[in-house]
Amino acid sequence: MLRLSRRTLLFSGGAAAAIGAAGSGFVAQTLLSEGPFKRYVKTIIARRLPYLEIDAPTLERFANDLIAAWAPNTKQRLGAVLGGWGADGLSAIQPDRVDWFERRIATALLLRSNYFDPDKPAQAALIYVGSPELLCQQANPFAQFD
Amino acid sequence: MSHYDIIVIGSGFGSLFFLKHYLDTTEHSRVALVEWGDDRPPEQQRMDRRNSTIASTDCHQEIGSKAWRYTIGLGGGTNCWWGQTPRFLPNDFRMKSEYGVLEDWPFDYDALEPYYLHAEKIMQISGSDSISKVAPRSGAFPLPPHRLSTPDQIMMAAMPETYFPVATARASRATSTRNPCCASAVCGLCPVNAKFDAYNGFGDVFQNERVDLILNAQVREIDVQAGLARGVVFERGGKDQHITGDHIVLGANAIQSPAILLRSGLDLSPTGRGLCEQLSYDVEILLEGVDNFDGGTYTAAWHYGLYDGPHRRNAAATLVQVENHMKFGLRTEFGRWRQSLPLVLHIEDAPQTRNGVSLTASGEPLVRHVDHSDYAKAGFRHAMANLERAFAPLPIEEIVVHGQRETEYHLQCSLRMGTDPAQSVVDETGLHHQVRNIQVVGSAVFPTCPPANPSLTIAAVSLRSAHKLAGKGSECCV
Repeated sequence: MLRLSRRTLLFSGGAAAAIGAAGSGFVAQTLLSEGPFKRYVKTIIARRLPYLEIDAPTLERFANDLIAAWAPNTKQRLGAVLGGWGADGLSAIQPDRVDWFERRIATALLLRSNYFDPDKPAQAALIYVGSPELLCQQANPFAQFD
Repeated sequence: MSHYDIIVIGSGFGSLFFLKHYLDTTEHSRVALVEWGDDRPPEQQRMDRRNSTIASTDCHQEIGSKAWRYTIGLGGGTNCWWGQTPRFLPNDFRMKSEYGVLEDWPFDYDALEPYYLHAEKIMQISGSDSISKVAPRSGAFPLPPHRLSTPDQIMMAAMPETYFPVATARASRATSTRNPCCASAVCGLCPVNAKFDAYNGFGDVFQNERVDLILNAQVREIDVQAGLARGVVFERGGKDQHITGDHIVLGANAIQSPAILLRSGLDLSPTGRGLCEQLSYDVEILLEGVDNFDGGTYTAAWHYGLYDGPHRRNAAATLVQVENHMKFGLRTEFGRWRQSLPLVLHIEDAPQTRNGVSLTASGEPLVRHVDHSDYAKAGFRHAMANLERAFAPLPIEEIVVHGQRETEYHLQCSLRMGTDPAQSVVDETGLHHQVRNIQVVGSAVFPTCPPANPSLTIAAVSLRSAHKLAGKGSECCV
């Protein structure tokens, strides 16, 4: 059987494209090691969801869960960023993937917490529930059924 | 050596619908179902988070800018598919006659309609009969449609002639073998057994005592002698094995099926040529004040406003799949989290001889794909030029093109149906022009590549082919 060299090329080229789109090597560096990745996640939450009341331990737990869920190793983590969080990996690479990725991080936190619970008092602190089994990581709490 | 009345190669949509009909209408025949992959039930697939242990990228070589993906395993594409079941439209079958481009199919929509209905019944499709405005129906859907999202409801009220609830094999109600859809948008590994697949739909086929299931067996070639197929040679456990049969049904997929024919020395010039699938794009409409994601399934509606019409003389049709899941995540501006409408634009492609399947020196499939057709690219430009008008009933803030999608898993057109052996490989029933006891099933036989997802049409065409083989004439088995 023959292996797909194109995939490797696409992967490298896609990484370069995403990095270029971000304007610096920051994103790639962030994604290549666990510590910076966690800091990156926290930065994204602070920047994209400035209105969110969340304490530091909760945010730390969320970042750990995200690493465990999306990719425990560097290559998979980068693949998750570039390819989305579907079951089958790499999609076409586009410059807005970084923005897309940030929205997904923010979405993961909002959906795995009580943020959209209609009974949650507006000023109450966020309760992060997490989700150890992430097959349904895009579960839709807004869906309605007849 | 074992001998069978029919040897079926592959166990995806094409093979299983053919076999289902064959078993239902014959007695005493022996069938071999030869499958390259393993028997991995859905619960095992979910546990492993993958449909197959065999990566499609290890099963062929690719040259070109496009990826080709499929599932090797019992049930084939019924495992990994997402359950979208649009019919093709009447003009999809008569593109040459109606618009002067592409090819006409050897039969028309009306001839296939009863088989569509039968396939929908087998799969217990959920849908709204309102879609008969574009795809005429002789009967109702087995299950009611899923609940529409708020943007879908606005669109359907404003554009009732082109905007419809999705027809889908994700159940809207519990059936005797499936649960209702949970809208979790992980349909490739459906967590609640709501999606039709081989395991919840064809258990009677797999357990039929007339069927020998031969797993982990990669068919290398069909044994052809004196113009007739005599059997197949498959590799299993590192050894070649041989079984004989009176009739061979070839339903691997649009990459592996032509490779098997080529390895068998059946190299009619169109064999393998024309491989294609839809050109597709991820697009997002950012809405102003309307929330999305409150529909009842992963995709709740389709927009046909960019599909059929005079533009098809020059530009391909587009089927717009309107998404009810947070593909791009929620928006992060306060209060506007759900003001996003993700779309997938499925654009028809034109089969081109420059794209196709041949063999490597070692006999493995080599896929060459130079590019999608200019016709498809014109279709994308047409869609983008008209998208804002098409969604005018909604408060549109911005339209964002997120990019071209890598693949749809919709391999098609590499062993096309037709009457001329110089231009096609099989006849209208899938029988090979040269070897009349080889019958090809699956989307490889499609003469054209309409924008709609192909699985339902694969099923309907297979039912028709099986019916024709049984000599039942033109009246469907329904």
